[in-house]
Amino acid sequence: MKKIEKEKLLRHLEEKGNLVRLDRARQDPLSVTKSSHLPQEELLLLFRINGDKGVEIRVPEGRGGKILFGVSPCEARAVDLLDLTFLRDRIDPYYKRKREDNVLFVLACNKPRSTCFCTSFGYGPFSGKFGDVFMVDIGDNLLIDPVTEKGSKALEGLELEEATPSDLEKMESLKRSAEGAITTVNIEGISEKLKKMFLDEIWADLAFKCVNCGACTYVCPTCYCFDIQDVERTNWGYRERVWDSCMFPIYSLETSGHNPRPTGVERMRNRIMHKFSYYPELYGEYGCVGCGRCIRACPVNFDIREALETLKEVEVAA
Amino acid sequence: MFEKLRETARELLSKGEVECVLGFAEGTLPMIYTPYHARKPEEAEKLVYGPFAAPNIATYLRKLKGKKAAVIVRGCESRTINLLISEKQLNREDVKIIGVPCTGALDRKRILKDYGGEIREARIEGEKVIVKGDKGEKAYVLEEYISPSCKSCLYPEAIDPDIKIDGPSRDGEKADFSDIEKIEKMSPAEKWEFFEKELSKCIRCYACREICPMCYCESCFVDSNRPVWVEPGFDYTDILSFHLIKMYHMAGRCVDCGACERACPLGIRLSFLTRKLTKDMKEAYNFVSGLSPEEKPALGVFSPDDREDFIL
Ligand code: SF4
Ligand code: SF4
Ligand code: SF4
Ligand code: SF4
Ligand code: SF4
Repeated sequence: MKKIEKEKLLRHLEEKGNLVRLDRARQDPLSVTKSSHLPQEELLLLFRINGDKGVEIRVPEGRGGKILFGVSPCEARAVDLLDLTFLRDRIDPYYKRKREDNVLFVLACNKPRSTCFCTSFGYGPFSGKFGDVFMVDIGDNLLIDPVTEKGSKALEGLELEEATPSDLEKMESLKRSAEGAITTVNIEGISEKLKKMFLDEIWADLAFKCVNCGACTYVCPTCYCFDIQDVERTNWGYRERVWDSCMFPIYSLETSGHNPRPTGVERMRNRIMHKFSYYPELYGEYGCVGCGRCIRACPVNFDIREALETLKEVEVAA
Repeated sequence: MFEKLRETARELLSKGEVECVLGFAEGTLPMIYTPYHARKPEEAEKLVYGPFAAPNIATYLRKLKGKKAAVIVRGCESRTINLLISEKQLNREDVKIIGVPCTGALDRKRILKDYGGEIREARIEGEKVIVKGDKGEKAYVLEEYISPSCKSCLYPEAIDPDIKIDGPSRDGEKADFSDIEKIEKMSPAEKWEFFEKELSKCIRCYACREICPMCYCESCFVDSNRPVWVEPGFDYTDILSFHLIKMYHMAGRCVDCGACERACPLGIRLSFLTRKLTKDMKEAYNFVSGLSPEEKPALGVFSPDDREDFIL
């Protein structure tokens, strides 16, 4: 690992491009990292009826990337999960552009929050494999380690010192205390179990307190559902993509009037199933990173950790 | 301190008088109780009440349709029940009303902000909230951190409960609307700026709508796409339309419980709107919503001597 003065690095990055400093407290409740790749509202194209020339269509240009400074490991991991949806089987050009242009400077979490449970997913507050550059704040200096080529490029032209053994020791002790502050939820086997629980009665119990707002899904860094709508004006208009949420009744409402998820129970089930059963089945990864944002944003204290514990305890026929 | 309530609930459940007792239980985070319905006598042990209860529990009655339920209510929640009965959403016979004393609901987000660190524990001690976390132990005077809606609450105590749990409550006579009066005195431009600053933070998650006991419409105008009343996206016109139309639908129906404001993940001060509504209804029609289940909805009746001076 290398080391550098924080201010020096920031000055360098400021010169390099559009620097966005993420202060952990200000980031809540929304994940700026998610919205930098998948904005809540995104213009897809503009259309205009031009006399007898017919319809003219214009696709907006990209706005250039951002350097996101201070991304938490969980948020960076969440972007990797978004890639599975937007870059794996089919490529979403709008997402791809931002993904390629943005540079993620990940900062290890010295002080996890009481709602963090990232360690349940095989990584932790000091995992250095996400984003483009990994950093640890050891007080006066940052320990720094490029993760990707893009990350190395962003550091070009900087003089980095070699980290000393005492710096590394400091990092280890910060890491130990951070990891020790996190409560891990044991989710082993949950995805297999959930496959057999689609019709279980527990969902009604779990969903009781939930009022099906969009808070948890909007703040979640891995939730990506969207809606595409055309907004029409007199002889022009635009098509845009806006966040949507499986918690809303109209999300699954079909044109016929039929709704396959008619009540909050099915909608709550979908949220959990998607993250802990469908995601693992499709991609071999959980669709939750344990950031705890949903827990903090929920108006009725629906705690996904508690829900997982409850689901684990339910007995299902083999 | 919840013994009396728990005993009452236990008895109702063991005698089979009700199928469940709806109220709150301790949550997983500090300073927030979570909605809970006790279905077995032993589950009554979990019931709690007090400033940490943020939602309006009457919202959950729609999930218990067809069940005989007892519901633990504060003043605003009991008025909600009256409104639901008068709007034919609920039968009086189906609910047993347990009134609990109310000193107001906590504006939790303000304590989180002022503490400035991670709070891991909290408890109420007399008139204070004591919190503990990475910034050490701190005490906050409850009354200073009470929801704005509770500050102007006219009826903190449950109206005509079947069972009443005694205890110290707020004084409805001391309802304070002074901050609303301040906004009333602003110029139109100042008002516009004031509300824009507050409401433009809205992410349209609709937590404020879903938590509201009176927003029970099966399909909401904001969700309609034929016709489109409110466009998708974040144009301030659309955000403002959502909030103003919601308020129109709330005139004489909002009980000013403040649950919408406490639910908002962005901490938007929705009580500036709900309290103005409450104040106007009181001043213009001497009407307070939900005082009796027999009362006709304010906007559903006409009287020749109704005020007209606001009509342009
Ligand atoms: S879990 Fe909470 S935040 Fe999510 S939809 Fe339900 S009430 Fe809203
Ligand atoms: S479900 Fe909750 S804890 Fe999991 S990633 Fe989303 S917001 Fe974070
Ligand atoms: S869950 Fe908390 S500790 Fe873990 S990476 Fe995210 S912010 Fe850091
Ligand atoms: S709109 Fe009125 S009744 Fe509805 S939650 Fe808000 S304050 Fe309560
Ligand atoms: S809860 Fe807050 S952010 Fe969500 S729709 Fe209501 S005002 Fe907007």
